[in-house]
Amino acid sequence: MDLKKMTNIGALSALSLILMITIKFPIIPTVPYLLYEAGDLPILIIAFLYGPGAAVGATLILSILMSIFVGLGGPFGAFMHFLATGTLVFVAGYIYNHNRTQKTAVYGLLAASIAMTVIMAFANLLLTPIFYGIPRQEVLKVLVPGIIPFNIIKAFINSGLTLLIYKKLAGFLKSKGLLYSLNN
Amino acid sequence: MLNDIMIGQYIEKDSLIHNLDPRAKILVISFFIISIFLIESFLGYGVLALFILLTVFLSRINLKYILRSIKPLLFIIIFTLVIHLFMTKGGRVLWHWNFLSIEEEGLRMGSFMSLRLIFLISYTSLLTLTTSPLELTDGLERLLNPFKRIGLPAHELAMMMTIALRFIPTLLEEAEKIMKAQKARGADFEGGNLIQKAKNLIPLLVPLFVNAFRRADELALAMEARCYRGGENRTRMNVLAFARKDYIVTVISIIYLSLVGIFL
Repeated sequence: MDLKKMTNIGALSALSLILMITIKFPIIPTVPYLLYEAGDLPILIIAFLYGPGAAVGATLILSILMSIFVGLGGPFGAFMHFLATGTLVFVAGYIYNHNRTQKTAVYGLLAASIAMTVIMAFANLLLTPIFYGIPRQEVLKVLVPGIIPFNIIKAFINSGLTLLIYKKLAGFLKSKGLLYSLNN
Repeated sequence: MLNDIMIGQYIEKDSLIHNLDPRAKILVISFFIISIFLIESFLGYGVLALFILLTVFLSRINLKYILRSIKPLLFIIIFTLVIHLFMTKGGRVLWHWNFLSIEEEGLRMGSFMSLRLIFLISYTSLLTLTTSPLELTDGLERLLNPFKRIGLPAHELAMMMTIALRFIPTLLEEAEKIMKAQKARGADFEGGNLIQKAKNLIPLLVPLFVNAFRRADELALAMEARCYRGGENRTRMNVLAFARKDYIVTVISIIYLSLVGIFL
């Protein structure tokens, strides 16, 4: 593996953790405990630069760091984070890296947001009762008014910000030789 | 903000647990997590608590450090407890007021699930308290090594994890600096609706990304200058070796945890 790629993924994973703790606010008033956090942005940038495999690897690194080095969310939280972010970055990276255009970037992020929302709806239904013992009916009650809109809004905000940042960074990344062409 | 996360919480001591091979500790923790899901009774949790206390005693770590690691997750623990107290019904009514009531089953499930979280967090925090980050990533790398055959880059993953760990404090400090600098220029990170809020993050995020890439570049250069060339044929100062005490501790722990998990 290219050394620069390794240090970039390492630094961006660290940035992801930092964004997770510095930038967070509730999105939906009915579920104030679900906080938006900007941690997915650096991983999405990894997905765009290096493809879905690298991005899922970075998500894995991040989840391990979350669960054992840093007191964020505990092991359950880290596992859910891996599922959510992993799906998001894999789908976005996979679609964008097939054909690198602005259009595929938008479609990729759109598909990724929907995929993440669907996966998280099922994951919450299946796993929350096992992890926290919260009865399935209670989870079902907040699924439509809380969990689904939360995930889709969070994914949309992150997608929009990723597009804006990726564009702003394009010149800088090209000068670093990380980006060869941005066909837009 | 650095206090919210607990990087570098490793406490150097000379104890049986500290001196165990990191792989042994990771294996035991994995079994601990499985058995905590299998246990169905308070008696089982009592026996498990004994196991935790014994580990704490053997590690010679002050109990207050372990309690401190629970603090960041206190919210989710209390949340779980409260949800169960008021939502889970069954058994005798213990307390009621208007439409609110606490029933036996709610109290039982609530305390059971919060105990599960507390045990899980305290035991995983023991891992980081007794193992240095370097040993841990080393152990993870060695444990992932067999998966190399199916294309998993074990060494690279461990190296990237080390790099990420090393960058967290630096980048966090920079993030706080940039936040203050942009606030001084009139940036507003709190007000406005969702879209406004998200847009306001751009002047903060772009310099953070540029910073991260720059740091990564410098590190790559420094590593290249020291002739780093990946995991092949790399030698180590401290080579991990699974000693007899590692086998003994791992086997005893796994048997104990399996028995508790299956029977209680």
